[in-house]
Amino acid sequence: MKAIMIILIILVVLFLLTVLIYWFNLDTKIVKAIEKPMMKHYDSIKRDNRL
Amino acid sequence: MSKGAADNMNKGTGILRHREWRGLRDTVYDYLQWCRLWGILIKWALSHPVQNIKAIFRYRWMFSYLTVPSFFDRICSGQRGAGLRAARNNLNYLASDVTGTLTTIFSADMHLHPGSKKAEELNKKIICVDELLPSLLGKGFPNCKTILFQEYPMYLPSLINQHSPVHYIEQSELYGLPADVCPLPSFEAGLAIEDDFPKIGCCMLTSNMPCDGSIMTTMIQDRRIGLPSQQLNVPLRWKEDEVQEYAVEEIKSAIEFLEKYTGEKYDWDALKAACEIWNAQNEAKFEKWDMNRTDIPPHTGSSAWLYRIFEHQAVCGEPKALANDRKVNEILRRQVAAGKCPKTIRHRAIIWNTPANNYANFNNWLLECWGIDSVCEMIDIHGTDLIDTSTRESMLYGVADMYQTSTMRAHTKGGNEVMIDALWEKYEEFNADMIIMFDQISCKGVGAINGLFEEGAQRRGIPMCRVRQDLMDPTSISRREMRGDVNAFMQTVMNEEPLDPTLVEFDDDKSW
Amino acid sequence: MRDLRHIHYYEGLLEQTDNELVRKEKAEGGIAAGYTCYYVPEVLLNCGKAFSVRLRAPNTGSLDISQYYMSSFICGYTRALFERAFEGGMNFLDFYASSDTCQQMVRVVENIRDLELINNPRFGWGIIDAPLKISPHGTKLYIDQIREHILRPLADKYDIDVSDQAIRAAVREHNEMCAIFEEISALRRDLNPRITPREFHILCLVSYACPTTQILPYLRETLEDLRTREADPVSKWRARVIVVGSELDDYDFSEILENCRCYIAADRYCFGAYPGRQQIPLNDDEPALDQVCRWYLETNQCPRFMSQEKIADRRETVKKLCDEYHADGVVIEQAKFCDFWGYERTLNTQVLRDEYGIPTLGIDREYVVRGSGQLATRIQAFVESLEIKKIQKGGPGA
Repeated sequence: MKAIMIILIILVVLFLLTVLIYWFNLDTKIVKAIEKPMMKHYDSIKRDNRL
Repeated sequence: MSKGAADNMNKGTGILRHREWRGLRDTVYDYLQWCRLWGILIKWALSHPVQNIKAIFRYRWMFSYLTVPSFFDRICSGQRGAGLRAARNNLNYLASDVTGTLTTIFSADMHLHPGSKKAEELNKKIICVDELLPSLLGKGFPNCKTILFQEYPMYLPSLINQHSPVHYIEQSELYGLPADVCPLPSFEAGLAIEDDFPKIGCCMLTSNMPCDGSIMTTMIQDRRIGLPSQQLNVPLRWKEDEVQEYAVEEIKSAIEFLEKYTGEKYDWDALKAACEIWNAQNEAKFEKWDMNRTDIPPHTGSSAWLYRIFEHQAVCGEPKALANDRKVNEILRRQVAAGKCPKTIRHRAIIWNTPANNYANFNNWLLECWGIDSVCEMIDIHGTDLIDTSTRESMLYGVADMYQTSTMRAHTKGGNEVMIDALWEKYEEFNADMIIMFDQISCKGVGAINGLFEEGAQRRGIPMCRVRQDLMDPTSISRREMRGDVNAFMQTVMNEEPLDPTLVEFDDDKSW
Repeated sequence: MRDLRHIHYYEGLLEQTDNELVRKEKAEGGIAAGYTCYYVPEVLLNCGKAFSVRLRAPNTGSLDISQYYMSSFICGYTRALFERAFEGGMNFLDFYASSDTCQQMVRVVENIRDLELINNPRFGWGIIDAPLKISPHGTKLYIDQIREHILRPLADKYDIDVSDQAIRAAVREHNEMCAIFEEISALRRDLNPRITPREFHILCLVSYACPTTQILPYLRETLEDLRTREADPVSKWRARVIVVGSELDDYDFSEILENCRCYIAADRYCFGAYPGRQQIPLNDDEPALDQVCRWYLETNQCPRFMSQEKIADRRETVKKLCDEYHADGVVIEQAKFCDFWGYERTLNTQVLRDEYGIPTLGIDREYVVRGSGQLATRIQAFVESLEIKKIQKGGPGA
């Protein structure tokens, strides 16, 4: 019973978390935040550029 | 004053402050589909976590895939009812297929697994084909995986993130490629120059699809890809019976080449099964078009043509794709039967010429801002002839026909009449009242008949709005400029007020 | 050097597409068959009473009309042709033999057709498809397409004899003209040649732009003249180059190089001598049509051919020409907005330089090059760099 309650609470929390992330578009905003450092990283990679 | 869509966007980035409220039912549905998408992405991420992280850090274009949830939001922007459901189902199916293919690619990628015997073994059964060649032929090698080589590093990222081509096009131009060439082959050339294609496959089938620029970029790519390659020459004058024999001989020759390098024998029964599934996929599409001909078109716009291109190229003959089609058609049928139309349609437009990858959700904006519904699009119409699977020869002719009438080929090759006359036919067929004509400035084949379109529309008294774009180069013509062309037309020629004034002019230059 | 015989006459002929010799041939019952591309075998358009005219648009001024119909990102050659047709400059054409081998060029004939621009009740056209690699079934396609879209309309509509004998007769006359060019071309191997780049370019152009039957007597006399002509006592040339590239029917280009004292030893561009002015060998065992078509496919140097063999062959051809004609370098010229040559130029400028060790300059140019100061500047700089290389090697020019 206790286990079921814990699982239920976890599920409810996860649900609310996902609703928050969904509604406030947090998944997109996080990716936007890492965009600049990622681009810097790609620019720094040594490449064998040639035709 | 009620808020408009652009009020919910961050200036410059276009990122939504919060997701769209579509009414309770549709918002809940959208949320559940978003969860489904994240389930697909998390499943992919956890399947090979180290490999996937390596890929994300190795390939600049992989960053675009991280923005997929945002991309799907843009493609579903303003959608309600069956349109929303169709869009989300189509897109989530694409996501599941693409993530599966990325797993195959990265597992075999020698850039990520240098010296790996396992990757080498995997590569022996990977056939790379030019991304504008439908993968149907590869179905005859069921023990092999046919990968549309440039689809995943180039074509999809260009749709998902308008900025993804820019760096690569710059590389091409740094090495001397003229700036007037079409950005698609230029992007591919840039990928080759930077060695940013995954290192996969046992052989490569290149082609002359769809145009002169694509022929030439193959030369540059071949040098870096370094695989045994054969050119599959798809005839241009596809309307003629005289070229069909040649088209079939080319396919037979391609099969011989693939047999040689895969060590597999071609499985004609597998091809037959795939062709029959493809026929059913086509019939599902025809039904969608039938529904769009009604006064309450249920499934129009970006997700419709995006899905069609992907289906035609990458998942033709796939049972799961057909299952998705049937599910979506059922949703659409129900709405049409109920006589519902949860969108404001002021105009039924034919959208002609290639759309701009850098503004994949342009159709959504047309509808939300001006009530222009894209009831029929040229880019949606290809490979529509059913394949006769009764004999091997008839199947080959059917596959050859599919290739000749492939994405972009179906209209831009075969003669003026194929592209011009077809426009007026579709205008009547879909009971349209205006045309949106994309003027892809670096597309030489279509640019050379601009005047004939203008004169044809004038003669027929059809309002035609020309929208300049450069396919996938936002630095050449921005989304804002594209919207500007429509705004000017709607305000000065059609004398209309927008449905959503906030969408007339807004800054999304930095948006993906 | 004294003026070359008939050179001024040739310059006059090149002032109009519908030139004096074209009109003369038409007056004698000839059928004018226009074409733009090596994919259309020139010699086959000279069967019977048909005569070939490689289409140009000399003295092109503004391109306003073609810009409206065809956009400003289309190659200048195609826009100029369309503009000329719109102006009525192609009403002499009876037949337009085209190929769907360049998406821009094929739109010219399609636009002409749809807008009914040729005021000639006999006007007809044919458009062929062509392979991008050499293969038995590709050659068959090519032959079938030529037969269906060029020879059959010529026969049916204009009563042109396209029999095997007629083709062989046309090849004989064509070969006689090519023999003249082969001999003249050989003169260009000399380090102090008897023919200037501009003169050769003019000769080549008239051979394409005029009926073979009409121009041959003049070319024979010009050849006679060249055989006895004496070169200038001192060679004025600072560098020798091969010019490679896209359609080039403006001899002012050669004049610009001449003014920079850069000698064009061989030309490997469309409207040039290589390919196009080499004799076509025929045997008696196969149909002449098959042999001619195979010849044109195998010698075709268009970058559209995408097989590895053809790509390599194009580079080897340039190398061979450099060696044969003692060239110091290569100029790859590209018509602006030409997709094929845009890529070919980009790649081969580097490949020829880095892998073949041949100094190479890549340039793009407008259809009309007259007065192009920018072009002259770039050629000048290239010539200087070639001279410096020669000095460093301790060769002539040191």
